[in-house]
Amino acid sequence: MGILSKKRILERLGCDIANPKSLVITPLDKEAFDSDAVDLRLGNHFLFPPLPSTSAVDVRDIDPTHRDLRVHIPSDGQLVLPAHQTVLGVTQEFIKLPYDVSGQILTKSSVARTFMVIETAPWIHPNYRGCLTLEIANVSSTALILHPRMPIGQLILISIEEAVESVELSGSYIGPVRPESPARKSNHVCKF
Amino acid sequence: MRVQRSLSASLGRWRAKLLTIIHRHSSTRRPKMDAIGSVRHDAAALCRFIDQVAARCTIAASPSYTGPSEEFFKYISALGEATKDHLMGFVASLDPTRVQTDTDAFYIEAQQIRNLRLSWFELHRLIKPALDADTLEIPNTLIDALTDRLRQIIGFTGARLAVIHTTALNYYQVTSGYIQQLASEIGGIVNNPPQFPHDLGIVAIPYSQSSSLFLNTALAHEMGHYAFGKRDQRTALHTPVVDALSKNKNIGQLNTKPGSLDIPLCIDTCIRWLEEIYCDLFALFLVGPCFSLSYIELFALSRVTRAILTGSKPSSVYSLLGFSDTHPAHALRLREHVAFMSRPAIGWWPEIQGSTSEHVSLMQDSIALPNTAFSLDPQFDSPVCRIALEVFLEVLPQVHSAIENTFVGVPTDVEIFHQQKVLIQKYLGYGVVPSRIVDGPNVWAPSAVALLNAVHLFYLDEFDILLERIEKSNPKCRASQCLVCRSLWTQRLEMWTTKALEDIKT
Repeated sequence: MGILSKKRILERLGCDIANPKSLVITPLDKEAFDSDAVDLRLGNHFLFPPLPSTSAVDVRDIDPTHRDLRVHIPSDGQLVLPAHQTVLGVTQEFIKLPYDVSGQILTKSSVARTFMVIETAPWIHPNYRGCLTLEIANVSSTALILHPRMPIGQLILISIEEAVESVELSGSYIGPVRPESPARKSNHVCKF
Repeated sequence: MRVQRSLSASLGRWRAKLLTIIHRHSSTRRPKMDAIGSVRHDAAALCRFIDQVAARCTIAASPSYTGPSEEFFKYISALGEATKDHLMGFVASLDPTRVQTDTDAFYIEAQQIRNLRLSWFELHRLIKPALDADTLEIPNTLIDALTDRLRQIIGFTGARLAVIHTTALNYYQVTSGYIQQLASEIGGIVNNPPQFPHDLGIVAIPYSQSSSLFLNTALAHEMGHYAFGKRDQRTALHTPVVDALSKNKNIGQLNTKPGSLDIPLCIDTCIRWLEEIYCDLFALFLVGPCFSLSYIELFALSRVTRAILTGSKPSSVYSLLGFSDTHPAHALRLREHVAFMSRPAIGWWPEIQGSTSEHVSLMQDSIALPNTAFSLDPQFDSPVCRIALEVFLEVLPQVHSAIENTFVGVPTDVEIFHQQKVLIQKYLGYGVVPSRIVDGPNVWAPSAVALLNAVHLFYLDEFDILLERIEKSNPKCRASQCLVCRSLWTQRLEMWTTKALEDIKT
């Protein structure tokens, strides 16, 4: 088990898509690489949680009818996040991890120092594919301005020892390209 | 894909009636001492109405609108300001003595407030659908990609399209001419009206279908209407239509006496049908055969239709082989699609001919349909339309040439599609957005046209490959047979394509 270096990441990015070891990060900014991480940028779509109509939200039983407020910010626009507020965002990059690599997303230090947290569920499982939903929280006491396409997170890739080869397309959130709220998590049972 | 013509016509009739009533009323009305006060009252009410409309057009930071939509809103705001300035000047200049000395002239002048009000009532109808069409509620990325293609046409480098919503499950182009006509009616009264933004087109999409990428390629057809107007193809087609009509052996069935509307109606009907074909072929050049595929989806043609075309002919056949007064028959349109795609300079048909989908089989079947297969829907059957149909079929080949002339110097992207299709589809088969394609030692981004067509063919021919992979990963899942899953994954496929279009744009 070890963190993938820039060289190893580039090797994986060059693999054929049918290769279970292939890594996809798209669109890929050539300036995004550190020696051991890849910068991820903020996307254009956001979801603001609605004010609950009840006294509290039971996290085990999210009302599937609840509607988040969808917001689209053009690439030259900006989003003001008031103090102590949260919003779901999404990375601009779509990611597909190999079967033998896990990922972790961290807030970029320059962003973290404004007291903004972008990810509270930072672990990404092997074979994950999709844009990453970001649980953005402004924990500072002032409003913060977010710009789509600004670098916001860092993706660290970690190889797994003795991983079992597979091309899984499973999981709760497969292939999202917009932020997704818990209500979208599928409990669907196939009927046919 | 109905144009707004019938709606505009009924509105026109409604306006004419209302104007007649108002005029009759005002001409029989006797002046009163407070006549000027009454005009002031009307002017103030109109100012208030315009203020309320213009206030809606003041763009806030959220929701977001595209540049062309903002242009449209700014135009309405500026037109509102010009109208209000005029009203204030008009009321200030009213001469109380004229009410007594020249009553009729006074009321005719005062009538302009009512005329302005009626024009603003019609503009008002477009504002809400435009405001509803923010960037979350329109296929913004697709429109950008289509507009990029449109701008490759000579004379269209400044083309922009604002999108509005419609409640009909239909796509139509609100002709800039229609809005300009309204604007010129207002401009004919007020001083210094703002100019309608040059090269700005307005198209409408069904309000609920912003994420339906496959259906939304029908927007390319509406762009065809925009191009048809901008290139004045109506005038270009008028001469061949008139020539063919004058030589038509059945022209004697029409009333050719002075004042009869038979001939103009016949010409108009014929050109309207030709315009629809022009727009279809325009869309095919702009985005490729995915337009035909979405056309088949939109009108729910395919398997059932195919059975009708190839076998028995129940009464519903009229909806396939019959012309309405505004649109050619579906089957003829598909036949023309294939004929156009088969032209050597276009070359799309060989690329999709091998598809096993019902959609392509239906198109294949349409090739064999002779001109004699087509007729008029019974409700539109008349000597005028019958002769228009004969003339239409005669002039039809010229539309194909007109499209090639429109797109001189613009590549079809068919060769790029040929090179990129397999890998784009391979990425989709693995559930990955195909915007950065690894191709051996090379990495490339697909073209928008190649992407749209490869995805649509994947959806029709190879979608089950993806669903089978999902089933293998989820033992309890029967995605290929479950409608909920199919719907979910179709939505995902459209989102991945939209994302890829966004990525290649950046």
